Amino acid sequence: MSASVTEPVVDPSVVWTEAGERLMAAAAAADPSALPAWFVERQAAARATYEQLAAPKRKDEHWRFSDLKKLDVSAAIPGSPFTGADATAAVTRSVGLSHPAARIVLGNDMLLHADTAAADGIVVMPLMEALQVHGELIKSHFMAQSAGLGGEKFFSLHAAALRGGVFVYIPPGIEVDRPVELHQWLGGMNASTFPHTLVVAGRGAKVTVIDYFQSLGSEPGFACGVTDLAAGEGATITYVNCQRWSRKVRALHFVSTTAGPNSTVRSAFLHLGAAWARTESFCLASGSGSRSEMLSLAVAEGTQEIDCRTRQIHDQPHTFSNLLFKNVLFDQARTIFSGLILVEEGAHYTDAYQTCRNLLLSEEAEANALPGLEINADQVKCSHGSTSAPLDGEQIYYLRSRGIRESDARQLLALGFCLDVIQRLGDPDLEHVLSSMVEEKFRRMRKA
Amino acid sequence: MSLAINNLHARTGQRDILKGLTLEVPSGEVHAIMGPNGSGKSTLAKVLAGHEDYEVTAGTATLDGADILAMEADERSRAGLFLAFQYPIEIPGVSNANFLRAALQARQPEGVELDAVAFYHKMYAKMDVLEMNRQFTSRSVNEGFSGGEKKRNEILQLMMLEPKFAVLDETDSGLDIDALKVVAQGVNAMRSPERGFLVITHYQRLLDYIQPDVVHVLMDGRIVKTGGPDLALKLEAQGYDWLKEEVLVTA
Repeated sequence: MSASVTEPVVDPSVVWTEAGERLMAAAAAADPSALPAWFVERQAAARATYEQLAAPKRKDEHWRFSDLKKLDVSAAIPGSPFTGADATAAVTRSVGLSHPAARIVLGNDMLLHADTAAADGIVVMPLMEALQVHGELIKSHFMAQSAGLGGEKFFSLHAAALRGGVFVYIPPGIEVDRPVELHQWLGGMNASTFPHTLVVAGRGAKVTVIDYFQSLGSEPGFACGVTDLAAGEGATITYVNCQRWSRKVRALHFVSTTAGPNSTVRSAFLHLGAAWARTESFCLASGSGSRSEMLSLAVAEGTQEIDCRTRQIHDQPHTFSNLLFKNVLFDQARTIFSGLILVEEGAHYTDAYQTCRNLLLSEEAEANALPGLEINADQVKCSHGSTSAPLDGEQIYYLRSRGIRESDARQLLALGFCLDVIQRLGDPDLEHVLSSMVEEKFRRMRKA
Repeated sequence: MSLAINNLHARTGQRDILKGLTLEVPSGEVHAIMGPNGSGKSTLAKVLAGHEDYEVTAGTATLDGADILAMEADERSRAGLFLAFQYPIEIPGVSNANFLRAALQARQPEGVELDAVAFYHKMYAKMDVLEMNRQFTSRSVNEGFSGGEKKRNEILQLMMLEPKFAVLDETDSGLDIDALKVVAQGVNAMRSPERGFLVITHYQRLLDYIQPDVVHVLMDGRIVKTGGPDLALKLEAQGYDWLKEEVLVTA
């Protein structure tokens, strides 16, 4: 990917200031009369915050191990609307499950296709449109909290540059039995995208949202996305963030979860693409009896770097959270996992778990793990841990003793390592779609 | 056609375990190997199947004339040798069906895909013989299986892969009598004039259900006595001490 990367960065803060001006200009030019006043103010405030905040440095605690040289935005420009063949290709290639409840396709943040006929009684619509109809509902959940994991400058950039996105609202009591699928495409040389997904599930509602992020071509690009998940009392949200950007894209994504009383929220990342990808996920167990599960699977090869920062916050008693982040590393790939469980004062009877497992398939690969735990309450059950290991020799031998060639045995085991994350989503159709993507990446790598 | 082992010496770490083992199992026959603990029974199984922890220092082992010691573990399997493990390995995330498919796919000529429908037909039929629930096809290989389920799963692999020679390493250990009968039923269903078996066991009990043509006694890395099925009965009744004395006398 070196051929496409521009000149070495001299002063990162200048680069970020200039890039910010370019990237925020398109949103700033939008007609303010078409948007609620609070949203216009919010974007203006975000612009100011972006300009005030310093660019991250590697020595910052939240950027430890991160190779910031890989996050090069010096050439990033706003994405142009998809036209003609590109628009057709994006819609045609937006294939996921066979019968989603709704399907929305966006190209560089602009709506290309919406199929919401089957979405009876639920809201699945472009965010900018939704702001005019469901403004108050959006206001109470829109980027309500920052993860505080180091990416605040980019979080502000997202808010200021936002001009697309999708709003999903499931009214109280409604259970959507098929997933809602969002396909967000990036296209064009050095194009940037600011995907935004806001999912609000009312009391007792239930929904699964699959968010696919893909590049139309193989050009370099920049993505800075936000997902907010708000589960009301007794609601169930499953959210899958399926990152398949081209191998020259630098991407950041923030996922914030608020789990109300007795709600269940499951969020999962599947990282297959990008040159450099960082996610900051934050889950707030804000209601007694809430359950939150955070999952991630990254398959990194070549010089890919996947950086995952997480925070599980418990501020009410009787809440549960579980985190499982897995990385498979080939070649000179790097991964970073940094996670914190924070049990606030008074959040007694918290159950919180955190596990990071790295499978090292190359001696040159590097997996960094910084698990953490801070407990300020009593009667809690918490654990955290991380492991990094190559494949098990006895397992390889067992497969070979059945005639399976060594390279096939290794691939089968690596795939097995991946599958348990996907299986935890508990949906066989979805499992099939996601595991096919992982298998496809393995196949492509073997051919290379 | 035979599995022929001649003057085999093998070691693990600094310890010599096999010290000149010789035996031949012709196709169509079932040979049992019995012996006290530490005599080298499991080492023989692992050496034949190409486990990396064991080093062959002398001797030969051939399968229908082909030198299996020169082959990698996976080549030995494709050449027709099968080992039923004493302690089958758990493989999280890999379903039993995918595992078996991969093993059979490895036997297909380059570019030829395994017939998936025929594969499932065959697998279900074999599972019926072994009284295995269909859910075992989608479960991860051996993960969370009971001792008996693991052994049945080994025999299922044997039945699917149809080797020329099968070595069963203490397949009876950890089995109750009902499970033992089912496992034996699977093995007996696979007996044929084209296939040989080497059944390694500590107890005569297994041989009530899988009746051997020949019984060998392994002590201190060598075959010290070979006889018919009655030899197993005598060992069961009298233990190995009388043999130790006999070996000492002849030595």
